Amino acid sequence: MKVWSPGPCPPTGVLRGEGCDLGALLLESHYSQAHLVHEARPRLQAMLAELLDGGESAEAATVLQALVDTWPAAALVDAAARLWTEQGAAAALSVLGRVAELLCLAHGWSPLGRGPWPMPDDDWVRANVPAGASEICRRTEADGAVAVGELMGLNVSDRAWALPCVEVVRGEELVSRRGELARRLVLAEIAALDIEGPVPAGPDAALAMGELCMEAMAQAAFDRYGVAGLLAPRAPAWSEILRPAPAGVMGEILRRTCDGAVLPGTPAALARGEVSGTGWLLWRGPYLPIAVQPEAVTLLGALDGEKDLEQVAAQLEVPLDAVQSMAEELVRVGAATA
Amino acid sequence: MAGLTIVGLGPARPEHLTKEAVSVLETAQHSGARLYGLAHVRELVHTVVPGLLVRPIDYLYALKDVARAVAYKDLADLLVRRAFEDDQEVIYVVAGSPLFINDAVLWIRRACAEARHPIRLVHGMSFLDLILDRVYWTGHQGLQLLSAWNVARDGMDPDPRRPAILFQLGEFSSGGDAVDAAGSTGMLTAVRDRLCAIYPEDHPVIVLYSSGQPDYRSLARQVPLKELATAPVPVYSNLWVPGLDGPDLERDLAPETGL
Repeated sequence: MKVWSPGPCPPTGVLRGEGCDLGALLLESHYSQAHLVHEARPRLQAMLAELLDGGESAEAATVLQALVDTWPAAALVDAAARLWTEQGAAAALSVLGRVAELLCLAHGWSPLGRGPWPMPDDDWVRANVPAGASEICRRTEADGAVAVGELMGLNVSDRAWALPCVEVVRGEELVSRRGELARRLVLAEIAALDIEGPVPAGPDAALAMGELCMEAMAQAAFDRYGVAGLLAPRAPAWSEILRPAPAGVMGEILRRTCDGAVLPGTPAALARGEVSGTGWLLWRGPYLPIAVQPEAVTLLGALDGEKDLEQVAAQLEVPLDAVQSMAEELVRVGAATA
Repeated sequence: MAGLTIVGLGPARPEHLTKEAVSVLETAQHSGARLYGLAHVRELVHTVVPGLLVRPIDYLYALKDVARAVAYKDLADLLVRRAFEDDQEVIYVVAGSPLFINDAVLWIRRACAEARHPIRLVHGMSFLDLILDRVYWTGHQGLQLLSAWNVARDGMDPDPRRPAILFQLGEFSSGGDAVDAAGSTGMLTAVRDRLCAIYPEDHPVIVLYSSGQPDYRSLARQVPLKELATAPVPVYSNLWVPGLDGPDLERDLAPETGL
């Protein structure tokens, strides 16, 4: 029985290998709302606490950003996995790419070659390679096939994906080969450049790099997502697909429209080593998480769609005008509505 | 068909596009032409032909070690090469008029003339048409059009007897990202100091700028020359300096007109 490698990225439907495709299995089991909410998020929370206890604030900043991103990622991932499988949709890749980063962090997995896509651990591989498997199919160079083959004693056979060409170029060649490379990019003979070694300093190299990256339509996607970027060259960055939540409607009785959490700070503050309780507004939708005062999270928790603001103020033992102004702000940022 | 077309889109709103510019963009949708332009130009193009791919040349403004003049020359070389060596249909889309304050267009025109490459030029309304509605320019003593940078940094003085417009008043750097308005006060200070050597400190000058999207209203504020640097301005602001011997009318601020 044939087994297909876990990489180089989640396969689209037409690229799924017959038999046991580890990449497709990983997509189905881990790129899901349920996995992010019930597995990845608790792991990240625990990891954040451990890192802060150990005084590793720079690493904690990365984990905190990942933790808050589990909210929009979880909201989008099921649809993204479906769109990627069925259509190879570019916007779906941005979501799956961020989820891949969250999975790497939460599970302690390493990325496979270029891009964020994880190589699952040995236990996962052993649990998912069926008995009787004899051969692992390799789709690209760094797709994990060799590691799975060694672990499971499988022969590796090449079943290379037909992909747009990527030209490997040394950084020092960029200036001298600028015209030739640009022409080949324009004529679509190559889709992106894989630049090895440092790019020389100076205007000539900077201008060459600028032109080549501009003309290589898959360059940004290839740099971000590796091979997957060649399949979806217009895939935007994760940061480009999130937007501010729409404002709510002010009224006497408000209900919350997002989750609230008090976390140990913002990523920027943690990176500076500053830890202090910070409120977060977290939407189960494609909206940017917002850091707020912890009191705003307390108020948000009391906005149940039943009590009016006067009752909420009494319950929280806070002056009504303070509740009123904070509620107006929550409505403005789309965290609450009448 | 391979060739090079330079298209001016006018200074701001879609209504400023000429019919010829619209026609070029609509044809490009189906011709396979390669369009090149900056972010604000791309937005304007998309109001005419949504989704039309305009390759971004914004990177030229983010190269820290590349002087602006070098970047413009490089862009011109790139576009000429693409059209006449790589045999592509190239459309360079610019804001305003291609013939106003656009070094890349100058280099393209000269390179193509020398090599006898034909180019097509699609004119556009210039920024001058837009900003002159907040002043009363009579034309009786001509008009000087000077770069604020040249006045502040290169010792290029206006003739104080005649009215002058100093353009790109907020441009504070010759390379890298110069769009941040917060960096403009250094340039304003340099312009003020230079002009104060020529004009009285109380000479009334008018800062002309745009409200930006979506209306692009013509905004203006009149200040004595000595107070020019008290607040930052957007990079594409202009300064109206009336002549010392000119008619009083040219010293007045005109009210904002309706859209």
